[in-house]
Amino acid sequence: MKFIHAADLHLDTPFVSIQNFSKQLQNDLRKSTYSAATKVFNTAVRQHVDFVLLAGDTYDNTERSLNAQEFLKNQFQRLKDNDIQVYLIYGNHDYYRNDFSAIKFPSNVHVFSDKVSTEILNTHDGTKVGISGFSYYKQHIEEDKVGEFPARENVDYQIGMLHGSQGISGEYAPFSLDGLNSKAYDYWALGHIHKREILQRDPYIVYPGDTQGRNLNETGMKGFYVVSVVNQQSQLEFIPSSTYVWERTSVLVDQADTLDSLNQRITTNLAVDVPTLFTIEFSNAQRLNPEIIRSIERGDLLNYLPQTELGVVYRIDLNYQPEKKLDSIDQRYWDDAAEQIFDLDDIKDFDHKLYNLDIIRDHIDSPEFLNNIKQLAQSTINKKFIGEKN
Amino acid sequence: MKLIRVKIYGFGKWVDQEFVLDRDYQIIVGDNEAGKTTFLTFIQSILFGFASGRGIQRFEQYRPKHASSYGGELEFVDEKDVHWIVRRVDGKGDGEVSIFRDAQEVPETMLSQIIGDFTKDDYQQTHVFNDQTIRSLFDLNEDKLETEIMSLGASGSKQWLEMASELENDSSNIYKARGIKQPLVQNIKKYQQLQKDRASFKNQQQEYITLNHDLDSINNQLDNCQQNNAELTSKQQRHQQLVEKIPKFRELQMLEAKDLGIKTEITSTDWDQFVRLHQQIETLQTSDQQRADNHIDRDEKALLDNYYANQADIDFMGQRQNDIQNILFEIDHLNEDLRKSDFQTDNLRQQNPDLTDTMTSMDQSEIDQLKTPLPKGHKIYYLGIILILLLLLWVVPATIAKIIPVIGLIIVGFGFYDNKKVTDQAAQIKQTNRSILDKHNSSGIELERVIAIQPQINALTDFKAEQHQLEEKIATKSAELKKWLDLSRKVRVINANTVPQDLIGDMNWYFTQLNKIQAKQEVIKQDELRRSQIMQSSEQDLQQLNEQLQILLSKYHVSSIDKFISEHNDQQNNQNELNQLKADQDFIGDDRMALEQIEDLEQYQTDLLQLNQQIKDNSHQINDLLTQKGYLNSQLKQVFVDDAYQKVEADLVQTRADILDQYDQWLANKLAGDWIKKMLDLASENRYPKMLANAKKYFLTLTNGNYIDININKTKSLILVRQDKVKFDVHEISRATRVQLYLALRLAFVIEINPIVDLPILIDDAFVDFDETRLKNIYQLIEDISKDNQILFVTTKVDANMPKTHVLSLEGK
Repeated sequence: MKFIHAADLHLDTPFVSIQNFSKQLQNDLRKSTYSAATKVFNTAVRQHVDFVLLAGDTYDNTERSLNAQEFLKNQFQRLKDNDIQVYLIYGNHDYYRNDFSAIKFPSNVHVFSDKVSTEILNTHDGTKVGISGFSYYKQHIEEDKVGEFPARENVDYQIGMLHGSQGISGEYAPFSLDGLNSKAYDYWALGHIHKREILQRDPYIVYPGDTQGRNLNETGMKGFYVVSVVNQQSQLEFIPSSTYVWERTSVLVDQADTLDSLNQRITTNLAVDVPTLFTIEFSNAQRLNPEIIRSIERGDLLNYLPQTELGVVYRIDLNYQPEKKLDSIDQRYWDDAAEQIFDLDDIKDFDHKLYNLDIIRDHIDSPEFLNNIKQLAQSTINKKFIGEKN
Repeated sequence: MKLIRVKIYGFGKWVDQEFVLDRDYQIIVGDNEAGKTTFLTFIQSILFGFASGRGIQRFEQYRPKHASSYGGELEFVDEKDVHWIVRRVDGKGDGEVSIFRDAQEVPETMLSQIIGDFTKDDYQQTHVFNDQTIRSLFDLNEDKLETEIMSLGASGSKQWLEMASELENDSSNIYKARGIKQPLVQNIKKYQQLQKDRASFKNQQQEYITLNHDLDSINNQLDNCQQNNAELTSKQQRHQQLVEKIPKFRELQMLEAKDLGIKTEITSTDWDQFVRLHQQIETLQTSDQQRADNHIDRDEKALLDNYYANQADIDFMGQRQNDIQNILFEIDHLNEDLRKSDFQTDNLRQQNPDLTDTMTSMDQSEIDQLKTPLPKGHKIYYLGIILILLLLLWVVPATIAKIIPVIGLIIVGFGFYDNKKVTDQAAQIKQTNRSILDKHNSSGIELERVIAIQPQINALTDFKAEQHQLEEKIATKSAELKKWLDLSRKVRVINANTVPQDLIGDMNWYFTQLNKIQAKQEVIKQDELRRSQIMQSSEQDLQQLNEQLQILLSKYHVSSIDKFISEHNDQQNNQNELNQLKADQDFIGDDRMALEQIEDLEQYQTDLLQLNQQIKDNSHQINDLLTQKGYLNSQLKQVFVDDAYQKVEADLVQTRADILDQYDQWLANKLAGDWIKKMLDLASENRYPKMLANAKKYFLTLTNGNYIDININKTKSLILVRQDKVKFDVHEISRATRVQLYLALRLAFVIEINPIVDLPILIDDAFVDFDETRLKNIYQLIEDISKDNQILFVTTKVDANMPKTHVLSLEGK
């Protein structure tokens, strides 16, 4: 038997800061989540899988998802025509609300409710498969849902579908590997984390990641897994599905660089096999001539880059390093000060108006936040420092 | 490290110079422009690199004008008595540097053994003191100076502080809690507005469900209506069928009510015979009548007989009637022309009374002859000559005068001869003219007049010729006419006394009469023919025919022809009605039952109208429903089109990204500023206690023993203790004292970091404004400090307090 495990299709994801791209590229980007989803369903048909698991966040936004629903209905109908079942749970992005699923899906689609339940399915090769899961009916689930999963049913292969993040506590159905292992399932189909990761191999606990990178931080080729099970042994095959890949590339610059040479350095990096959106990071930007820095900050370089077939520059970041470490005589004090200054609670207290804004609150709560801010502060000081000297 | 030797290859005004320096401190004295500052700059340049040629720095480049090589070397000795030489010469970037340890060249990176991690800026901010350092302190306000003093625990504190305040400024350019214009504030406002906009969109799914529900309901109604319509239509068709049959049904009922039994029937043979007989009788009767109408009387007979007797001539006349009319017309025309010509002749005569009919026209030669002028005599010339001669007699000498009479006589003689010849010629011309005039019967008229009326003579002649011609033509035509007249009379087409003018009228009348009579004759002939035909076919005459007809009538007991015909008509009608009855029965067929059931047949009509109305209403309803359905369908499609929403959503996401970017930058700026300040605080806090021991000593010296102690209280403020034990905080002391405090602390800081960086302190005339006592204290201070850190002090003033052994004079170098 064979099935597909995909998650976080995020249909209808809007893309940020693409207004300077050609209309064609903007359009293709907006459609990219659909293209990736289509690839999932095409693969299902081509590889004659028994069923498809969609582990949450299929829609980016449930408020207006008719087009996505219509799209899914048609795709699911296709799967039905090919005798393929679909098991779908809703995640934190597309948590279930009244009147949300306006378009009815065909009968091969099994949508889980907010209570953990189990569907039984007999595959073409006679494997009896149990699939347990639940959907989000609210944006955050802090309680332990793993406990609600039933013990392994009387089946040949048991799958758990879970949209959540690993941890002792959290807003997204927190779980631990021990908790999952205690259920003695054969496969845990996870969703929510966009970075592809196999948390454990025996039994498999898998984040397939999203099917299409949605911003500059979601780098690398995205996709989903085709799982083949022979004698209860699972074999995973990763199928790439990104129409556009996000990449971050660091380019070391020095004082001899001109706009032309920078242009060339970037261009050599753009030779790629798949359509790719690059975030170019100029390291050692402090070595550049201030005129060139100003020019880059004005967007001159970004606007005059040659268009290549596949590689497109999405953004150029300037990263300033200290020429030497901050004066070594004071280094100890810099470090001590940093420890006191970069404090999340203090940052939250800085400005209530800002912290009351949900997006800023979420932003501050993201795990990389503090580190990013520290780097940015460091870079800012480094930039000022060269500003002083020049 | 102690700097013990300075060797300059070329730097500013210095070329190939070597200085040996004291290890503790060296006072270097020289006038303005002696090259003191150049000397100190040289030391910095060799250590940290030549200044670049750009910006303000180019003034510190000191590229020598006259020397071939740029740069030089510094020789240091460390506490282990190892000698280090730093050599820097012209090269790429900030110069080409080479390092020698105890005369062994070592890698360039070994430079850090001497300067540590210090940059030129670091060095200048800690070890270098000049008048600018002092002046900038005086320029600071109290708070700033205090801040600066308080943060002296870190290297480059002044710059760091400036940067921190700049960062704070940058940060509030992005966002201020109560700001309005800052981009982050604006974006937050935009974001909140966009959220409101998004909320104002209808719930798409709900709309879709509602619309679908409405659509289902419409479809149901539509089905009902369409079914209803089908029923009504079939009913309508049935009614229509019946209504159409009602007139025939009524007819049927009427026909059935009639007695249409068979009566005496006139056989079709008899009827045919009757018709034939009846026709024949009628024909014969008509023919009799026509014969009576078309009788030809005696006169007519006579005319006809005459015609047949002269048929060839009369027909010929008939054919040539037009020609005859033409002749008459031509004669009239010619007479008219003649009258016109006569009138013109009369006119000509009236205008020229002297014109006679006998005058004939002359040819051109005759006219020329008549125009010949008469010759003239020359008597006057001859009389003139005689007169001249007579005058000459009085003038000329006598001898010559004798011949004058002779000449006179000759002239007189010649004159007479000439006169006679002229007279003869004139007589001859007159004679010729007269004969010409006679020839043309024109004598008695003036010669000129004769010539003048020549054209009129010609015209008159032409008119006369024309008249003659016309008269001849008239005669011919008249003769022709006469021939026709005679013929007409002869064949009695016209009366004997008919005048030519009436000829045509009479001829016309004659031919009309003739035609009329001939037509009558033809009718009579035709009638005769028909009659004989009837007679021939029945071989019966009218009488017999009538008898046969009577027999036929009596057979059917009918008294008259009209009755027989009427009887036959009745019989025919009866048959027709029977046929109609049969047709109606066939037409109505099975519907008879339905029609007989209902009492009032009009009811069907009423019902049909009602049905029609119902169907009409129903189809209106269907149309309405279809319109609604179409509308709902298009609305349903519209629900899927959510470009406006997507636009808001895209804006929202973009704004969110912008907000986060700006927030990060705002926060990074803010935190960077805080970080710097925190670092300064920490550094000062840690170093101050140790620094204070030295600083206290320096401050005591600098204030000439006035301040004896520096402490730090719990709030991390400096407390200064005067010699009278009175305590002051920094705000309370004079500005000059504050500057001395700053210097004390800064020098103490250099001593504090001496274990990390051991480079000479460079003082460039920093205390030029100090008074005698203070200067003395400065030298004392230099001596104190130099125990811990080497000092190079340059000044213009040679001072009595200077320890002579440490003075290096630049004069004469």
